[in-house]
This record gives sequence, C-alpha cells and structure tokens, in this order.
Amino acid sequence: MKLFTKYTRINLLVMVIVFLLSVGSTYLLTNYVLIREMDADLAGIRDRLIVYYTQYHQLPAGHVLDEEQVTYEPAPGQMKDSEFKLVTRYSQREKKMHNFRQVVFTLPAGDHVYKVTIAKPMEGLHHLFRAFLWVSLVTIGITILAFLLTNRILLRRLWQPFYDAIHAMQNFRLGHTNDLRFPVTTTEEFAFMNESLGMAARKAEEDYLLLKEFTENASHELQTPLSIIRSKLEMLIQEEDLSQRQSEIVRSAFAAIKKLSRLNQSLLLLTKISNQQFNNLQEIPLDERIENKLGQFRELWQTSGIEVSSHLSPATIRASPELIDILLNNLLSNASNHNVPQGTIDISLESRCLSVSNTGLAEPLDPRRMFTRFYKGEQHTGHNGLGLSIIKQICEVTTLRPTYQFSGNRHTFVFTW
Amino acid sequence: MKILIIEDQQELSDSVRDYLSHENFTCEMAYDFYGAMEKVHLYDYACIILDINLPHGNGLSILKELKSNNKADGVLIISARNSLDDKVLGLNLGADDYLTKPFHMPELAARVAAIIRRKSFEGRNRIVLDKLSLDLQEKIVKGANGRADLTKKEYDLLVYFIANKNKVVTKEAIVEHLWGDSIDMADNYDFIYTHIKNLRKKLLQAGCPDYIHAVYGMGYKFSPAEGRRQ
Repeated sequence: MKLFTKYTRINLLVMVIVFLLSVGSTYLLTNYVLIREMDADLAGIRDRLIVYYTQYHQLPAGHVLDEEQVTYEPAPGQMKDSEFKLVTRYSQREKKMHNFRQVVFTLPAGDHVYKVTIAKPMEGLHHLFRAFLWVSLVTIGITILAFLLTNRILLRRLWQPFYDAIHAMQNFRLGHTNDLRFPVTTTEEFAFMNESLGMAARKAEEDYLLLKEFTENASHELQTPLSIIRSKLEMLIQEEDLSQRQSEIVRSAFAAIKKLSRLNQSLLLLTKISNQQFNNLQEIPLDERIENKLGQFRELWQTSGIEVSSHLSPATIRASPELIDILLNNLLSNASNHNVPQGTIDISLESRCLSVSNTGLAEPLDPRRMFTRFYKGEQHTGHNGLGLSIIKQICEVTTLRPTYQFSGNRHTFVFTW
Repeated sequence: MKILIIEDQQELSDSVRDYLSHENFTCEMAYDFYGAMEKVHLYDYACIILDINLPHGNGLSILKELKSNNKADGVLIISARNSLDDKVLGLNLGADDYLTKPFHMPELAARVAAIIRRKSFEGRNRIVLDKLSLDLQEKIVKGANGRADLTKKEYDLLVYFIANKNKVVTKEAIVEHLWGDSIDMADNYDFIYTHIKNLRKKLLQAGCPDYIHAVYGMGYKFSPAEGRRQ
C-alpha cells in the first residue's frame, strides 16, 4: 500500500470520527437547550393559566389559534410537581401523530382537582434537526473531498523528489561509471536521503572496484605459479631419457595442474558473474548458438559413442553472449561427462524453453544440494563440482528458471525464460 | 631472429626462453618495466612476449610506446587476466595476439610462430621442411608425391606441430589448441587420435616420411629430420 493511501485512510477515519462526535454532541447540546426553552414556554403558559384561574375561577377556553393543545380532565388527587415529558400524540392541526413536549400538572378548583395537560408540537425542532444533519453531512463530504484532492495534488508534487531519487537508484548499476545524479530538492528530508543514498552508492562502487581488483590480483597471483609449474613440466617432458615411471608421474602432475587451473578459472568466473561483470546484454539467436556448439561437440560424442538428437526451433534470449556460451558448454559437457557408454543426449529448444536430457547414473541428483558449490553426485570423478553452480549463477543473472527432473535413468535440465 | 620476453617471473621466462630457443631464435629477457623500455627502444625484435603486470609499470604502456614509435615488432600479450575487456583493450592497442595464463608452451610457440610469419615474412608464406611444403596463404600441403588433402583440423594440427618441431606436445595441449579450453572433457583425449592417425596417413600418401611419433603416455612429437622412411 502506498504511503499516501495509508496516510489518507488513517486521516479519513479520524476525520469521520471527529465529525460524527462533533455532530452528535452538537445535536445533543442543541436538543437540550431547545427542550429547556420549550419547557420554559410551557411553564410560562402553566403559570398564566394558574393566574387566570385564580382571577376568574374558571378554566380558560381552548386556544384555537395557538399551536399548544390544552386539555383538562378531573384528577383523583393533587400532584406534587409539574411533569414534563416527550410524547407522541395526535395533532389536531396536522391530523396525524406527532412528537409533542407536554407538561402535566394539577389545578385545585374548589372541591375538584383538575389535571391539566399542555402539549406543544416539536415540529420546528424536527425540521431544525433535519437541516442540521444535512448541513453536517454536506460539510463532511466537502471537507473530505477537498482533503483528498489537495493531498493528491500536493503530496504527489511534494513526493516527486522521492520518486525521482528511487528512479535514479534503480538505474544505478555497479561497475558502470555513469555517476548517480539526484534531482535537486529543497525538502530537507529528501536532501538528506539523497545524500545518504549517494554516499552508500559511492561506498558500494568503491568496494566493488576493490573487490574486482582483488579478484583480478588473486587470479594473477595464482595463475602465475600455475604457469610456471606447467612450463617446467613441459620442459621436463622434452628430456629424451624419461623412464616410463617418470612419464607417468609427470602425466598425473599435468592432470592435477589442469584441474587446479580449471578450478581457479571456475571460481573466478563465479565471482565475476555474481559481480555482474557480464552485462553486455544482446538478443541472441539461441538455435544458431546451439547448432554451433553441437558442431564442436560432435567429434567428442562420436568417439565416446554417444547418440545425440536435437530439435531446435528458432528462439532468442536476451543475455550476455559470453555467459550463454559458458552455459551451453557446461550443459553439454555435463551431459557428456556424466553419461554412460552408448548413452544418448536429447536437446530440444522451443520459443521459451530449452531442455537437455541425458542418460546417466540410475540415481537422481540431490535437488537441494545439486546447485551448491563443490557438490559432486559421484565422488570419484575428476570434476570440481562447480559446473552446476556456474549454471545456476548464470541462470540468476539471465533470469532463466532452471528445473531438474529425473525419470528412469534420464537426467533432464529444463530452462524457461 | 630475436624475441624479447618481458615477464617478471624469472622461472617462467626461463622456461619460455628454453622452449623457444631453437634454430634461429635468440631470446632476450626483461624482468621489469624500465629494463623492458630500454630494450624496446634500443633494438628491434621479431616478436615481443609481453606480460601486463610488471614491476614499476604496466605492460600496456610499453605497447603504447611501441606503437607511438611506429615499431613493427610483433607483440603477444601473456596475461593472467582473461576477461574479454582486457583482451579487447590489448588488441585495440595494437597487440597481435593475447594468451591467458596458465598457457601451454606449445601454444605459445604456435602463436609466436604465427606472429613472426605474419610480420616478418610478408609475401613469403611458404614453409618447407624436408619433403614437406606448406603454402600458408592457400592452405595447401604438398609432399614428394603431390598434394595432401587435409581437413581444417588436420591442417591446423600440422601447422601446430611445425611450430613445435622436435618437441614433445601433450594431448591436452593439442586438444586445447584445436577445440579451445571451453570444452571440459574429463581427461579423455581419445578423440584426437583419429585426427593424428588421418594426418599421418595422408602425409605418408603424399610422400612424406612419418614425422609424427607417439611419445608413450605423454603425447606426440613432430620431428622432420628423424622421419623414418616407410
């Protein structure tokens, strides 16, 4: 939920409550005042009636022109006080039931006691309340509307620097030297935020450069001794009189050096991918790339007796060409290296789905651990266990979704995008 | 013909010198930036093997200096940096080739030979060895009996062997040369055997002695002088 929406919701709620409370209390207060006023009127009429009776010893005739309705009836006894109350009774003027305020009191007349009821219609009051309610509702409505409109316009304008800053941050990419530019703002909070964001970005950029430098240095430091060892071994095998035993020792040293340098390269590659150093995105015709790769691998498969079938429909993907190349190499190498003699590899490409499946060990890979570094399905192999984590890492930066299926003795990797 | 090896790791440059020093190659060494600059200014080389990270300076500055002085020396960069950006930068600055460490010596020799052929023998692009002759422009191989019809891989293999004649070349180095190092084949190099076998057969048919010898457990050796007649 947007901050603006949250803010408006709370504000509206509070506003409505405050309005209702104020309307309610004003209503009650006015009601109270008006009824007291009415009671004072009724008391006045009562007093005048008593005075009239004391002077003329007879009850006054009904006031035809007045709105008050006065009735007399004999009462069994004297009432102590006058009794004011709200009643609903028949209005002779309007010919229907109506709300009245009435006062009931007793009037001693010789040996009789009369009970006198004076009722005054509350019609005026009723209209007043209705008007009052309407005015209140309309005021609430207009206030809320005005509030929403001003907020919408004002807040949008006030928050614009915020959205601009966020937009600038979204376009910010580590390793790209285009400097981060925030819009100038006079709002103190936003200026502060921009300053902090800028500082964080500069720090990240610095760290990124340091890390990149470190990776490159680490690579250099490792590759150089590796080069020396390999060159020395290559000089050693030039010797004419190597015995068979010596040759074998040198050969296994060669194999180990190869593994070591491949491991070093793989680790570097992983670091580079996660540093997002491959960001030259292009539209890549995947079917052509795969066709090329198949050409490169065909000879290896012929020698190892692996049957390969492929169904490639035209498909493109937006990615770094280098990474796609590495991904295909790893996929096809894996499918060949973990295959069985006389096995098969099936490659199928549809518009947004690539699947590579191969025969292999009759045992599925552990789906929870298969993409972790140094995971080895079969412990004895000479692979460094980084192939699948490189694939995973490439998928992450290329927004490919990898899935793994196992059925029978076929291992299938499916990539969708 | 002189080659300058600019590399701060003395062990590595010694190996390079020992490997390349044959017949008409003389190798000189420079171990740091200033030594390299001095040599580059004083002499002309057929090929300069240049490391980028040097004490007291960057190898690329040497490259820039060479180019600004219009020196025709061929330059092969050897670097531990294998990112595409670095390669592109080096080649744009005028290097002839870029090789990533750790490299195979035969690969280095092949690249150096290619650079020297391109730079020093402009117009003359024939190699004649014993009974074998290669036209590098037309990619035609001839023996005493006439033309040998080689596939692209077999031809590349032959040129590679010639650059490393009389040297033992490992199967691993051959695989990397012909297929690149991107293909990760688990210690299985059997598939190059077919290519070697075919190359030998075709050269024999064309009237060349069998120059290629298998070295037990290791690889192959191409030695035109010792070729046994069949």
